[in-house]
Amino acid sequence: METISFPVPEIQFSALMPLLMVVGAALLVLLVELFFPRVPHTALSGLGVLGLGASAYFLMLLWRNDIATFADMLRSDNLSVMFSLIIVGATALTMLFSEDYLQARGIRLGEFYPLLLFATAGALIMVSSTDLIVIFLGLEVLSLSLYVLCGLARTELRSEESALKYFLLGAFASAFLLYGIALVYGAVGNVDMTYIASAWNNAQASNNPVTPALLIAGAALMIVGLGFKAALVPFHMWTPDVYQGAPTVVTAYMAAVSKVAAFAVLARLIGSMMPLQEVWGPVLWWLSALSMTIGNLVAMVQRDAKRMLAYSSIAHAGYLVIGIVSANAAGVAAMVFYLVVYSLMTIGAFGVLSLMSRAGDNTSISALQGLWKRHPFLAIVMAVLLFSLAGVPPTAGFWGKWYLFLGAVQANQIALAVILAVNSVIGAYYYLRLTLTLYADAPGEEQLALRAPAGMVACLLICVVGLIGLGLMPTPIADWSREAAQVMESWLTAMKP
Amino acid sequence: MISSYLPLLMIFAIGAVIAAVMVIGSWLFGPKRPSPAKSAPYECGITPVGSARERFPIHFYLIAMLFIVFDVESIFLYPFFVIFKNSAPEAKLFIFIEVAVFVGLIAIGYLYVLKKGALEWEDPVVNVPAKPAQPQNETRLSA
Repeated sequence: METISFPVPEIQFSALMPLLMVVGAALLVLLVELFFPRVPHTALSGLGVLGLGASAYFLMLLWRNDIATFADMLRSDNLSVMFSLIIVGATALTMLFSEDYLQARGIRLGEFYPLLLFATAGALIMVSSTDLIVIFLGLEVLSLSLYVLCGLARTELRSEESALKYFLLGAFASAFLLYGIALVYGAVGNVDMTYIASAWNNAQASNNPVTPALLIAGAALMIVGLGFKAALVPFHMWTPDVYQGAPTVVTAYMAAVSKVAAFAVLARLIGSMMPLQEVWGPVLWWLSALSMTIGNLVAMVQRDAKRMLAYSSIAHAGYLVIGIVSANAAGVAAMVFYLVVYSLMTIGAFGVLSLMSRAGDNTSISALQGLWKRHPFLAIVMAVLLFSLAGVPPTAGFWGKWYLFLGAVQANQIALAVILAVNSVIGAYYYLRLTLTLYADAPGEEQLALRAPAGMVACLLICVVGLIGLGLMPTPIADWSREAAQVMESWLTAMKP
Repeated sequence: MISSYLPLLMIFAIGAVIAAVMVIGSWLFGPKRPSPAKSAPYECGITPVGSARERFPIHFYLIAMLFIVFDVESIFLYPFFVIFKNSAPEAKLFIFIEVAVFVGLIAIGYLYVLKKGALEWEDPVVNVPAKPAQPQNETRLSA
């Protein structure tokens, strides 16, 4: 029998190391928990954080190296390194305070840490590839782990509901994305998104109507799938229920990491479709405007703090889309910067809520009343986080919005910039109202003193110091974001018709 | 091109018409004298016992789920062997390592399943979260 010529791809392990570290840590934690069930779970989370630290170290080595390996299926450029660092950092922050929460809620399961790390691995795969099939693979790894994590408190109806809802709708959205990938493959003849632009241009030159039609349909379906993951209006219906029902640590993780991964893919996808700008431009414009407006307006009338933050995360997703609609390097850089800030704010805010929601999972806004008396440190932290979410100047939230605003103005998207400004005001209303609630006296009932565990304090300190530090001097991270966005700039300019 | 499929379409149409005429005709013109025995569902000639919608132990699902994982793994091994056997020597090491990683990952999953007692039929060690505050009174189906 003749020999099969099996092409052995060239592999550069340096690009793979961050991923291997995370997966290795996940497997190690799984095995340790399996064979030594009595090991304290803080050790497990410590192992996980170590793995994430190693991953971050290898990521930093990759900075300013452009590597495409595994037959171009894995791509490590500044953009993917930046997104990966955000994801790894957000996971580490979540891990810091999750053990205490899980114990208090009675869901002290060793599987939490491996699942969290597997989800992180999926997110890392998503952000460091331009191959649509690999991206889909990463998305599924991320989503499947998250479905299980949402239902972790499986004796609670709400957690069950959240997991089932997320699973059904998420599977539906994955199908949309996959169908979109199939159509794009049909039009382009390649699953790598970098070929989309040339396929479109060739079709226009040769007057072939089939390819553009397939590409538009494929792109539309992919935007639906990614819009679901990023919780953009009108694909946001699942968000409040899932965020509210899931254990709060999982919500914190999901709100940050899942969104970073989805926006990384969306930014690359849109960058690869620059010649089609007149097609997707208006679509994303409306997605952004609707997400900002509806997210903020509905958040105003929420009585549950977790739901309010869920709607506010929808509004923030709308802000982030502005960076993509701008379709210039400044916009993408602003999006990257905002994702850093957003991850810090969200994880911190849900972290404080995770401390409040111990008894009976009461996360109503009135339960936050009198936090100042119960635990002054937490009240100050929450106030800073809320100021940053609102975008009040001495915090990083302001700079995030400012850069997005500048990007939109540069791209001549004045209307969108105005909508952003108006929405910031609407957002400020309910964030500041919540801040006032923290310092109001609680009516009647006796107040339990709160105890903030060390991990929680560490995580919150990192968030607050990071936010204020970035607010005072945003230059380092903003410069890195700009450098990361230069990857997109070459795409954006090269692919313009 | 497409017109060459016309005979096929006609066969489908004629088949559908014949089947519809037979079913609807016997329903319209046939005599209807129901008796309890006649209107019972047909179960290979045996009188049905109770409803089929019973609750049955969740182990069946668990075993079925695990079966799929390892079944798919073994299906992947066939093309691996064929390619491995016939590939150039310099590619063999790469292919072997790739499959070793794949099998290794699933082996860890198998260890997990085994240690958690998911394959034990009699008294499974189910992964119930500890509830120190209020003990949950769950009725067990398998009892």
